[in-house]
Amino acid sequence: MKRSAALLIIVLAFLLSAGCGGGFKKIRNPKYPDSSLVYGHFDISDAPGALTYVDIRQIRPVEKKIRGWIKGTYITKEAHYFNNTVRPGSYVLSAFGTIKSGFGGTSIYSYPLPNYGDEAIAFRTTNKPKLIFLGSYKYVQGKKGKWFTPGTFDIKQVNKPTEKEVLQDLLLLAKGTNWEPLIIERIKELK
Amino acid sequence: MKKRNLMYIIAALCLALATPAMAERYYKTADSSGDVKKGDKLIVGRIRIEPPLEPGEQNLRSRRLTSRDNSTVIVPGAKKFMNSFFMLLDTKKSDPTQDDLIKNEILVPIDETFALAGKKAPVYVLSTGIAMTVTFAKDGKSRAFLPSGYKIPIGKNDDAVYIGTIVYYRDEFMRVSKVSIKDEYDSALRDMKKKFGKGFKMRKALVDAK
Repeated sequence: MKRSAALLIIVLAFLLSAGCGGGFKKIRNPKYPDSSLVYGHFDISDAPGALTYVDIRQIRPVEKKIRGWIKGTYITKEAHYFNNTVRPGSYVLSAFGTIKSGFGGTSIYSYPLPNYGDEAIAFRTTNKPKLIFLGSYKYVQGKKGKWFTPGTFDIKQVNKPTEKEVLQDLLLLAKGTNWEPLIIERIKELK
Repeated sequence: MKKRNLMYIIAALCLALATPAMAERYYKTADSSGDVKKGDKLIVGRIRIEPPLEPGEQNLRSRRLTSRDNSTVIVPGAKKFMNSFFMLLDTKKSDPTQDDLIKNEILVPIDETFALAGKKAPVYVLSTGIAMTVTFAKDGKSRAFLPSGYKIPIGKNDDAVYIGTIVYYRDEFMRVSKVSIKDEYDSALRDMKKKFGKGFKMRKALVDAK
């Protein structure tokens, strides 16, 4: 599953104004009654920085104006990600990345994932809200990039953290919401 | 100049430098007799996907790369990939590299009879697919690859062969569940006679692309 990394180093701090947001957010009540909660984990400890964003791209319904990601995906301090606003449709994990700040400004390291075919991390949601675990993955660095030549990287699926472990962490962020009983129920199923 | 506009230009320059000009190897598309040189053979066929692409599903306009990055990906020449399959042919079966694909791919229209002109025989279709969106990959395109690696049974004595209509049955993630070969020789022959003249003939040599 080797692919070239889009190693995008942008030494301009003003670029951090984008819409997805980051930080350690609490899980809120679903905005729409048909929203699903999608979650997973990326271990990118071998990458230049901590996991800052994960992008989920909408495949169906086809976007009228392609954006490439849906809003509302957040990262926890354990490097889990979640999005509790995923409406009925078809989606893929399209990218993940890290943002590293230093004296010269800020560098963004973007790692695109395959959006199509058997290698895509794909899922579907329906009108019935559900919890969807997309798995735990580890970033593996390949060849280092040079100017105009992107480096390579790979991701491999790993057993840890398990879905249960991810949910136990997310449960702490979902206290008092409609998600809480669903998460507790799912944790019980996973015992 | 606004800083954001500067980033647009940087992104475009990066991709322009990283994207070599397309140069077909061995075979090139032929739309009329003028595209066929002396000694060229013709490969005639058709490729389609089921269900067909939805409006907007293939979108090669510039866009922002990720949610955390305001630079816009502009890929010069990406629009010529619209409504087309890319194909890579070679005289031997091998796993193509990305560079090989970028340098030597051919574009054929989706669900239209195409003709490829060249001198080599036999040849293999190493790669087929559709460039779906622009991205910050090496050639600026996010590609959906379709099952390939099949041989085109064109012989040294053939002037033109008909390889059939290859149909890929896919889901919305372009995961292919089935490949079938349909024999649409008569309609393909009609199409080719319009392009190459009433005397055009071709041998039926359906591929085994399943």
